[in-house]
Parts: sequence; structure tokens; C-alpha cells
Amino acid sequence: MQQLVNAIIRFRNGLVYLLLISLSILLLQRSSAYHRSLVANVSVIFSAQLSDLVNYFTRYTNLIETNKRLLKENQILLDQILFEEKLPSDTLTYSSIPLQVIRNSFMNSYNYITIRGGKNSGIKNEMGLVTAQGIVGVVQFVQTRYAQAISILNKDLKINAKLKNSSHFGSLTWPGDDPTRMKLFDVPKTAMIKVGDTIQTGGMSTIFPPNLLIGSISNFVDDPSKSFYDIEISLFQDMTNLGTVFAINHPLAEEVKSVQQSSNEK
Amino acid sequence: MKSRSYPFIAYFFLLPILQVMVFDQLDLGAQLVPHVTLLFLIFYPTDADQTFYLFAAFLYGLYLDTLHSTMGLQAAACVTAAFLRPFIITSVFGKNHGYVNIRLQQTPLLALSAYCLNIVLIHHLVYYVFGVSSWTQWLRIVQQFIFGSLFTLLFLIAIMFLLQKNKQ
Repeated sequence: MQQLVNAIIRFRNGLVYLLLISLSILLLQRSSAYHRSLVANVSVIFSAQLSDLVNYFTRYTNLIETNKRLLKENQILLDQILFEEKLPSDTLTYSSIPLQVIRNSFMNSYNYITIRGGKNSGIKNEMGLVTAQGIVGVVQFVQTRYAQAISILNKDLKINAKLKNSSHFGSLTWPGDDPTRMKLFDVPKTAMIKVGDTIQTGGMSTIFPPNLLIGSISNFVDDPSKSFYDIEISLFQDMTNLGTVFAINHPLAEEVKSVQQSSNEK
Repeated sequence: MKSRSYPFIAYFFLLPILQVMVFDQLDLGAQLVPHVTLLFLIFYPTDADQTFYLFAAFLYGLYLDTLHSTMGLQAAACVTAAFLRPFIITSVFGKNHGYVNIRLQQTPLLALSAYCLNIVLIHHLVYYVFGVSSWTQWLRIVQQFIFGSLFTLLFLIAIMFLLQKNKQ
């Protein structure tokens, strides 16, 4: 027994290292989406203000680039307005809130976007974030002046999407490797698809309105043993370069959620 | 608490804040940033209790993880670098180094650089391997490891050089 105690004392650093590295790996691998988001929430409180301070100065150096992007975004938005005026009027009117991205990660498995704008700006949980080029994330935590969103480059996030041509629905996820590509699953083989087809939001939730751009099909696998396609999407939005984003406000989000909750209870 | 601990408590809290505010902004693309926070692990007194150092490195890593929304990644990298530091010191400075602390003014920059290189390589190896989201991108991970290590080392040497000159 004494020898065992002596051995433990002698190799205590090795044992402490094993304990701490196991704890780190446990945090890294086994942590649930809830725990990861809890850390993300703490991160908003601690580091959003720091990043914002730096962002305040760096914005001036990027003004030319920002102007170019805004011009392009304006042009696309104008095109969309003109296009929508030709359609029968929608019963829902979505509104958007412009927000500045102050931090954006894209190299981890679970990426987040920190934005300036919180409860003061009317930001709420589960609002979708978009740009003129496509969707970028979903708001997850809202503080008074800052908010954190799950990036679409986050393995936890699943987005309802559809094919523009045929309106077949599927589930969009990020496999965790390339920040320019995502995967679309569960599209049945009855759908006729080809490389280059546009993918849009499905609009089956209150997060994103239907028909928002996501990307185009860059590749797909037609496995005869499966009844669904395995589709690779090339994103329209460059997720490594986010400046201004828009939070989408669903006018009836609360009502839809309460209806869904009551139907789930039944 | 010994008075010489105070600077390290300050480094513990201030270096990560400096990292977020200044060094994270020096992105060379693909989120390649210099990890100057390693200065805390590098200059932590070598005669201090190694077990306490391991716990300090773990907490330091967790603090960095909180600031960067990377659950456990920095903690694993920091604790591994801290665990292997005695072996690195022995191999770089020799067995006789013993309980003498690494001091900027008294240690040649070349030996300091070699010591830093080892710490940086170990930290970055764990950081990029554990942080890998998919092995299909292994070439990119290797590139990030090599260029990230060089970038960090360059900054560490530059900071140490400036501090040495300043103190002289």
C-alpha cells in the first residue's frame, strides 16, 4: 500500500496530466450542444465587447471593401424587390434589422458569429441571419447590446432547404470540412436534379422565410442502394468574409411557436 | 503568496485579452493568428511546483477557450505543452539548468527561440489535431500547423527581442 502511495506521489504529474487531458478531450468531444452553447454564451459576455472595440477601429480601414459589398448587396436587393412585385402579394411581411458582424469563426467544427445588436435593437432568439448572397446563421443568445448566432458552419445546425426548380425539400448540414460547401440530405430520388441547380430555404420554420438563396449544387451522388440523393452544395455567401448581416423578423413567430407547442403537447 | 507571482497573475488575465483585441486581428487568412498567449506558459517560473503549473495551464486554456468559443481545445493544447516543458528545458538548456528560471536578459535569444519553438510546436500540434473537424482536409491542417507555428514563433521572438532591448 505504501509503495502504491509512493508511486502515485512520484508520478503525480503524469497522473494529473492524464486527468486534465482526459477532461479536455471530454469537453471537446462529448460536450452536448447545450454545453457548447453555454460556453458560447459566456464568450459573448466576456469577449464581444473586446472584439467590438477592435472592430470599431478596423472598420475604417475596410471602408472601400465595405462600400463595394454594400453596392452589390443593394443591387441584388433591388432586383429581388422588382421580382417580388410581379408576384401575388404575400400574406406575411417580413422585416429585417441590419447588424454588424464583430467576430466570425469558420475553422472549428462548431462555429459562431458574434454581432453588434441585441435586445436594444430588437434582436430575439431564433432569428435567421442573412445577407443578399444567402443565409449565414441563427441567433442563439441575446444580450442587451450583443448577440451570438450559430453559424451555418456548425455541425449542430440543420436547416430546411428546397430545390428552386422542383420544390423538393431536404435537410442542409455542414459536414465540418470546407467552409464554402454544405451537404443536402433527404432529397428523394423522384426529384430531377443537376449540377448548378439553385438551393433555397424551405420556409418550414419561423427562422428563415421561404425562397432565400443558399447555394447551388456542385456535386451529387446517386447511390442505387439509397432512396435519397447525397448532394453537395456550394454556398453563394462567402462565410469567411462577413460584414453586415440582416436579422429576419418573422411577424408571427410567437403565434406559430405557440401553435406548434400546443400541437406537440396533444 | 510570493511577490513574484503577481506579474504572472497579471499575465494570466491580460495576455488572453491582448490576444483577442490585437493578435486575433492579425489574421493572415484561414484564421492563421499568432498565439502570443503562449508567453505565459513559456515564462512561468521553472522552479514552481509542476503540479500547480499543470492546473494553472489547464485553467489558462479554459479561459482562452471561453474567449474563443472553443470548448476544451486550448485547455488540451496548453496542458500538454505544460506537461512536456520540463523535458524541453532539459533538452534545450541542459540538465544543469535545474532550478534556475528562464530570464529574458540572461538567456541568449537563440536558446530562448529553440525553447519557444518546442513549446509552440507541441501546443500547435495538439491545437490543430484536436481541433480537426474532418480528416479529409488533412493537407490544410498540416499547412496550418506549419505556417501557424512559424507565425507564432516569429511573433514570440520579435516580442522577446524588443523586451530584451528595452530592458538593456
